[in-house]
Amino acid sequence: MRKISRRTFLQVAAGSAAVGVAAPQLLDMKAFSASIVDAPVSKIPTYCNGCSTGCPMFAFEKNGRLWKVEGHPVGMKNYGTLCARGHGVAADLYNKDRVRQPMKRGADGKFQPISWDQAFKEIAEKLAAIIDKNTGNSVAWMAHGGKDTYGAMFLDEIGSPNFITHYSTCFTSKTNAWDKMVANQLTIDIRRSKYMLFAGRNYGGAIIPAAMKQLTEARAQGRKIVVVDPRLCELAKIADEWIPIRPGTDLAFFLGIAHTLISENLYNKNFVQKYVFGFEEFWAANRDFSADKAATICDIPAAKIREIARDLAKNAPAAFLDPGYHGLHNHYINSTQIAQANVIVNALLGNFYQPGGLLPTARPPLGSLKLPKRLQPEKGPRADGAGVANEYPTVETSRGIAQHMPELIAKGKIKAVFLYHFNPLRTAPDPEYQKGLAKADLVVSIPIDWNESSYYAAHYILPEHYFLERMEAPKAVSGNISHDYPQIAIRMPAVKPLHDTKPLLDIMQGLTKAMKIDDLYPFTVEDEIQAALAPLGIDKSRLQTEGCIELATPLKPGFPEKEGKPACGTFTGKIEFSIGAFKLHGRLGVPTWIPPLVSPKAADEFRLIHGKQPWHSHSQTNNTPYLLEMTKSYNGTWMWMNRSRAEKLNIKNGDTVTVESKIEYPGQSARIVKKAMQVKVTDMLYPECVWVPSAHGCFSPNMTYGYGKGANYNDFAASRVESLSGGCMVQEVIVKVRKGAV
Amino acid sequence: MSANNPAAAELFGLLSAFWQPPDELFWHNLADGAVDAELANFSQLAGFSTLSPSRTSFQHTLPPLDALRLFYLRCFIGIGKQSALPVESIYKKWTDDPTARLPIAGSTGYLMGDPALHAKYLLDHYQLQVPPDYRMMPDHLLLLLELLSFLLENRPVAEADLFLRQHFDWLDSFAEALEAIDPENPEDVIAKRFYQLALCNLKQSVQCQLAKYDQVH
Repeated sequence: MRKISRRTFLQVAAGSAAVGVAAPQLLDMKAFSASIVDAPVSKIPTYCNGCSTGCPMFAFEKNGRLWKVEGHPVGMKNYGTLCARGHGVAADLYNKDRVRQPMKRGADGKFQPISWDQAFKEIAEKLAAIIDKNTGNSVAWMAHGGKDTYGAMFLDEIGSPNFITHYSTCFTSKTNAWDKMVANQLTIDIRRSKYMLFAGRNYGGAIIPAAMKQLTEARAQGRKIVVVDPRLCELAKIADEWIPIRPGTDLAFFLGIAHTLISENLYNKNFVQKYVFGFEEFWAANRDFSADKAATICDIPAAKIREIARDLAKNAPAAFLDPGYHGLHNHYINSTQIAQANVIVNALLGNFYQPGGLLPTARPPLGSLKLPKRLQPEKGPRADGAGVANEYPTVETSRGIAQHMPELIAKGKIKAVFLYHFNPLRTAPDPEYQKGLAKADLVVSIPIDWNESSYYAAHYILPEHYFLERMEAPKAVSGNISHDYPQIAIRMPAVKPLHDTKPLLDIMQGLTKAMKIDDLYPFTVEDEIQAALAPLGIDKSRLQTEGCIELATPLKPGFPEKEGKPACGTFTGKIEFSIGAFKLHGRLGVPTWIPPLVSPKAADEFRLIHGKQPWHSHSQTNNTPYLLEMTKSYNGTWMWMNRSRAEKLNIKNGDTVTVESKIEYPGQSARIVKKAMQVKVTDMLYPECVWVPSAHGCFSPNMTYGYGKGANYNDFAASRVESLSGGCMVQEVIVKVRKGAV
Repeated sequence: MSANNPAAAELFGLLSAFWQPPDELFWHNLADGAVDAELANFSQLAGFSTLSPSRTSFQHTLPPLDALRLFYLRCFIGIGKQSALPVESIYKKWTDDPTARLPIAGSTGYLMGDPALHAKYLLDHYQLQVPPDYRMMPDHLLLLLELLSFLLENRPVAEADLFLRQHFDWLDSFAEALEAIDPENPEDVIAKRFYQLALCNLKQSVQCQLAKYDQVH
C-alpha cells in the first residue's frame, strides 16, 4: 500500500524474529531505569582536563555512561579531591554543544558535515599546494599544551619552525626569565615553609587543590601567609595578611624587598657568593631603589615592605616569594623584569633547592619511542619572530608568540594554521583583530567544542575525542607545588566515544596518509605507553589499573653541583641575576624599575585587570552549564569596582555600566570598544583598577549556554608584543566607565 | 493482540522521514504532493479521522531543498546559533539513578540520558541495527519513530502502547525549542514553518494513536 519509497535507518537484523521474540522484560522505562541502578560500576583512571593542572582522577562508568568522578588519592596536586571545574568538565561529555562530526565551511560561510576521509583528502590537497608554493615555513601549529609531539613531528616533516603555544597569552615572561636565570622552573615547598609571600598568584582561584589544603594547614599551624594583590582574592581570604598593591607596580615592591635585604645585610651572603652570578651588577643598578622609593610607586608603606623583607629573611631559607603565574607574568610592560626580580628576591633568601623554599619538581624518567630518522626539509626562521635577530631574539622558541598571528597572515608569512585545542579569538587580545586568522588560505581547528576560533576562522573542524573517551601516553604529575617523589598518571578511556570524533593520533595519521607521507606516526598509543614505562620498570597493566603511581626515588634537596661546582644548568652554573641574552641584544641584563605603559588619570578611568574564578578555567569552561549555574549564583560575570570610586561615579552595586576602551594599531585609526557590564561595588579592590573574571564573554553562537554572558578582558586590549618575552600586556589597558548601558 | 495498526505503522514510518537529513528523493515526493497524499491515505486507514485538514499541506509549505538542508543542519544537527535537537534525552532528566553523582544527574539538556539507554535496550532486544552515526543517540526522533512503526506493525498492542506513551511525551518541549529558533532569512521562516507543521502533524498522530489505545483500555 506504500506508494513512495523512503529511507529507513533501522535495519532488521538477519534472523530477527520480529514477531516471535518475547516481549522485553523491561518494556516499561521506569522499570528499566530502576533495573539499571544496580548495574556493575567500572573504575577507570584518567586525569582531569578542566585546566592545565591535570589532577589524576577516577572516572566511574555504569551502563556505558559516566556515573561519577573523583580525585585520585595518590595525586600530589589534588589528594583525592576534584574542584568544581573537574566535575563540570566531566559532565560536559554529554554537552550538546560539542562538535559531533567533522565540519567544512562552505562557500556560503556556513558549516556542513563532511566525512573524515573527505576532510583528510581536501586538507591534504590544500596543504600540499600551500607547501609547494610557499614551503613548510608558511604553516603554523598553534596549541594549548599537551601532546605537543604529534604536532611537532608534523612540522618537522613539512619543514616548519612555527610551533606556537598559548604561553605568550599566559605566563611567558616567567618561563623566559626563569629558564634564562635558573634553567629550571622551581616550585614552592608549602609543607615546610614558615613564611610564604604570594604576589600575583591565587591558588584559591586558579585552584591547585593540594596547594589549598597545604596552605590551610599551614595557616592552622601558625605559619605565616601574606598575599599582595590589588584584589582580596580567594587566597587572601585564608591569609594572615592581605596587602593591596597598585597594579602594575609589583616590580617596585620586589625591588624594594631586594633593596631591604641587601642594604640591611639580611640576605644569604654564603648562598649568593657561591651560587649567584651578577649580584654586583644588580646592586649597582638598584642601589638607589629603596623601600621608600618603592612605597611611593606601589602604594605599600615602606615600613610594611621592610617588615616583609625582614620576616622573609628571618625565616629563610624556609621562606619564599611564590614564583607567580598568569597575572603578573605576561600582562605588563615590565612583566619580564617582575619575573627577574622574583628570582632575585628568592635567591637573596638562599632558598633555592631548599626545604621550605623552592624545590625542583620531581620528574619521573619517562622513556620515549625510538623512531627511525627521517629525511626532512630544512626549516627557515620562525614566522612569529621568536628567537629571530632584529625581531624578538630573546623570546623562547619553544613557546613562540601567538597573539600576532593575524599580522603574520596579513603579511603573507603564514598561509596555513592548525589550531589544536587553542582558541585565540577568545583567549588572545582583541577578538576583532584575531578574526584575521580566517584570512589564512587554510585554517584547521582540532577542538572539542564550537569555540570562537573554530566558529569564525576555521575552514575545517576535526573534532577530537573527549578526554574521557581517549587513551593517552603517561605523563608526569608535577609542577606548581613541590612533592618529594615523582608521580606518573595515565589517561584511559572511561566510555565509548559518543560522536564521530577521533583521537589526535588518528587524526594526524589520517591527514599524513592523505598527504602521502608514509609512516610518520608508525606507532599506537599503547606503544607510547610501553616506551614511556620502560625505564621505570612499571608494568603497563599496573599503571592502566592504578592510574597514578608514585615512584620510590625521592627528590634530593640541595643546589645542583658537578665536581663541587654549581651546575644548575645556566651558562655559569649559577643563578644569573643578569641575563646575558638580554645584554647581547642591547637591553639591560638585570631588572630595574620600569613604569607601567599606561596609568589611569581621569575620574572615570581605571586600569583593567583580570583573574581566574575558582569555578572556571578562563574561557575553556564558559559553556559548561553546571559551572555557569555557579556563575549565576555568585554574580560571576560582574566587574569589581572600589566603593570610593563607584560613589564618585554614582554607581551602585548591581548597576549596569558601559566599559569603554580605545584600541589602536600603528597606521590605523583608533577603534572604540564598548561593552555593558554589571558592577560589584566592593571595598576589597585597589581603587585605581576594575577587575573582571577571565572566563566570560563567549561570542560563539554555537556555545549556547555561555553565549553572550558577560565580557572579557581581551575585548578591551589591542594585540601587542612585549619585546623581551613576547607577552601580550593586556593589563596595560585603561578603560573608561560610566553609568548606564551601551 | 498483534499487528495492531499497520496503517499507523506506515504513517509513523513516513513521519520519521521528516526527521532524517533532507534528501532529494523525499523532497521531490513532498513537492509533487505524494507525501501529502500518502499521509492522508494512511491517516484515514489508521482511523485518525479527527485530524486537522492542515496536516496534509506540506506540498504548499515546502521550502527549497537547500533551505531545508540548511535549516536542518542549523537546528537539528546543531551547526548554528540556535538548535533544537530532536533527541529525547535532551528534554528529560538525565537519569533517575539516585546513586549517580554527576552534577548533571538531575538536569535536562544532555545527551545519553536514561531514555537513550532504554531505547538502546529495546533496539537490541528487537535486534534492530542502528547506523553508526546514531549509535550514541538511539533516542533520536527518527529512530524512535521507526521503532514505533516496527512495533505497530509487528508487536502486540501493549508494547507499542507503552512505548508510545513513554517515549513521545517530550514533543511539547521540543516544539518550544523549535519555536524559539529565530529564522535567519525568509527561507528559514518557511523551513521553520515546515518543521513546525511536521511536528504538529506528529503530535496529532501520537494523540490519535493514544486515543485509540485508550478506547481499547
